[in-house]
Amino acid sequence: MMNQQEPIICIKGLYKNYGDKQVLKGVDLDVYPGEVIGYIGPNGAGKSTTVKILTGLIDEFEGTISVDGKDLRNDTLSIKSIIGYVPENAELYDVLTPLEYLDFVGKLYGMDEQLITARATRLLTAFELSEYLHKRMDTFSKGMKQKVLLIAGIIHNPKILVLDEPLSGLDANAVITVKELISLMAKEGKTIFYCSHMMDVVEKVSDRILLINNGVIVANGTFEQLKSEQADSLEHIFAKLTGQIDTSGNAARIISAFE
Amino acid sequence: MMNNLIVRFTLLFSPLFAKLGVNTTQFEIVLRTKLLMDDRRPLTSFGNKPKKESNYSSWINFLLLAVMGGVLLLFLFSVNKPYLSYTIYFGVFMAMLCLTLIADFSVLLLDSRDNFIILPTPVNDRTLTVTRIVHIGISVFKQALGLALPGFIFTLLTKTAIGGVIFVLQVSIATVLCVLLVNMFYLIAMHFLPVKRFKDIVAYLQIVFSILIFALYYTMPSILESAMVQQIDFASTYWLWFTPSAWIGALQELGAGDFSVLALSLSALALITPFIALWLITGRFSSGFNVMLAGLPTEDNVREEKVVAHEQVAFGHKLARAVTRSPLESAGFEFVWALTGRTREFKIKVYPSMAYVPVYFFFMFFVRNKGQGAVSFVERWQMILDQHTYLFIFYFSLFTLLTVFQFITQSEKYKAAWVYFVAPIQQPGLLMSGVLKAAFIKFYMPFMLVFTALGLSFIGYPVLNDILLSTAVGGIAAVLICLFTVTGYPFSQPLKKTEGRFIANLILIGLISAIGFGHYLAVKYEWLVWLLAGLFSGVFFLLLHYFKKESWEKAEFKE
Repeated sequence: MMNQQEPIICIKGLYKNYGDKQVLKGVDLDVYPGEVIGYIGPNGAGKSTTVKILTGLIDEFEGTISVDGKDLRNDTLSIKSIIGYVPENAELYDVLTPLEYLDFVGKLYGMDEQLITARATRLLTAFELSEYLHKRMDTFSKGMKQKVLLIAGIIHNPKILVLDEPLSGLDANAVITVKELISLMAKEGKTIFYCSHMMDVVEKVSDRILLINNGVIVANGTFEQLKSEQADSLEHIFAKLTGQIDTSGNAARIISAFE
Repeated sequence: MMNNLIVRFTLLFSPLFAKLGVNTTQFEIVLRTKLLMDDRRPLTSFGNKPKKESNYSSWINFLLLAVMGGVLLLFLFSVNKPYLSYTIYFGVFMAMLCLTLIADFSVLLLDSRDNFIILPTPVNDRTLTVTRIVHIGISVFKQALGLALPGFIFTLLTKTAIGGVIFVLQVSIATVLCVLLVNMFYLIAMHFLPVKRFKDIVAYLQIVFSILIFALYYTMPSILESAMVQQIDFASTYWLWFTPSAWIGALQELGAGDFSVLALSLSALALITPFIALWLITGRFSSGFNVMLAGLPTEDNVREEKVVAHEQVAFGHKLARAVTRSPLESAGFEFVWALTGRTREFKIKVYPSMAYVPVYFFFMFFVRNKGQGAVSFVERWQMILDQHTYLFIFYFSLFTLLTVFQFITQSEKYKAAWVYFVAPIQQPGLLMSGVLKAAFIKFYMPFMLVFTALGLSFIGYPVLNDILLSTAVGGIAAVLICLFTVTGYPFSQPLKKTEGRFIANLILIGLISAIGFGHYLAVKYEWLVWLLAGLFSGVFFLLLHYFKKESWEKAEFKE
């Protein structure tokens, strides 16, 4: 998709090593305002590393990243203030109640206490957690914790939302809510960077799909473009571009193990 | 190797198990796996140590208990009267065994994994129940054996072989009674408390256990040597007759040839009670207990639960408003205020150190000075007031802050700390200033409030300048401890043994001690103490001002 706007996220020549292992081998990508980007790839391809660099969790890397026209290395704090992040695993301080946790996160973003409480209460209610405002999260299911993380990611009303497997553990209703939320946020001009293994969801919510394999971007385009170039479904495109040509062969090998 | 022997021994009862409807092949597999898991379980009995991976946990626990058993020998050789010595020994033995069993059972019994690992497999109920009982039995046996071994060797060496046999019988009775008491404790606790809260109670018991050992170590030798204990006449101390440890102790009297009515009656009680206990455990308590266990929640089974600590947090919230000046500082304050009260591993490590302060004070001024043996407690208390040696505890309380800041960065949930690193924290020093204020107010100010109340009661208003000076020094010490020993944001790092800030700690201890000694020298001159109090208060606020500007670049995200 050609875009006349300036990219809100611009990554050029991104390299990252963990010891001798090179995880990112020159990632280049542009993301435009209001886009929903589906960022997919097999395990160990470099998805999470890209996300961690983009959100400031990893600060040692090679290459340049600019967000909203600012350089990530020089303007880290102002970039962090416009990004919302929802991590893959439901890692949160679960001895707190959702309100306490959101109050803590909101204050880290410099928000006023009254605004946090009002917004958190509304969001928790929207995610059907109004009964649990004052209950400690160590008794919550994974899906409930994931909802709180989602709210924590958007409580400061970020311009860019980075989602790493945000639907993990959510029930069917919550999945629908999140999918609609993504669409509405994109319509409001927010940019969504969506990392996932769930191809059907990526296929439905993304404006554009970036496929990373072995530390490099191997596909970049809308689903329609990829489909016309490669195969009939995103799952097959994924399998083909990541070298898993014969997925049905794998399944057959598993079945034959019982013979 | 040992586990192999244990399993082989239990398999000797295979025919009996088979008659009970147990599948012995499955029994062996489940039991071996459970024992293997015990050996790989992080050590928990002595809560002060951080969790560490091990392949021999249960045997390390066994050795630790044997060391504790060695400490218990104190009661056998420092009390001159054999009957009394065994009564006290078994009293403490039972208290310790109960506490370790409660801590250990919290892992064995409250492990709901059986519900979704073993239950879906074709293992019948009887096999599972018998395996569970045998597994718990082995665990109890290991603990009791570890704790009793030194006592057994001591009894063998100091008495006849019959004494040794009687000791084994005594330990068996004590163990059965402990199992009954623990069983009752669990039933009552689980009846009134949700499981999450119940686990907190277990954590508090571990704290009590640590304090008990500390207090025993420092105070027991002197108390046992005191005339009060040495002159107890067992025959005329009626209340002792009602304690189970006295019944158990009476058995050694029989072994020594004392067939008095008292020794015979108490021994009879000792022999009967285990049967009553067994009947109660198997007939009355076990069914209710199983029902309770079956109701344990799994991760997806959410319980309706009110936040018990809500009022407490509201108080923390009010305090945060009063003492912090920005959302970031308030975030640090409220976060630490809440998590230090709810994080089990933090409480287990830090709360005992708070109790050590009064225990050590008692030891220093009421127990240690043997040269003042003829001086009564009241006279000693007056000397403490006259000589101003109470200042010692004002400064000694500060060591609690060393422990607080040593563990404040550590958490099992350290991965949740990603939130600090994605947030645009402009001034990390401000966040940490909230942390510092919360720790200072929560873990140091309660001491100063108690000292102020006591000081005003016993000394009067002249103590106020001492309190003010000590508090100002406390504030300065808190800033320095936090600055030089804390290596990251609160609850953001994995659990580890030590912070590795030994030199910094040593220098800070030296500094606090030097200032404390300076205060002691200046105490005769009221005006000087007021002057110093003003001066140190100024230094404290100045340091705090610069502390807020600290960049905290040493804080790193640990994956």
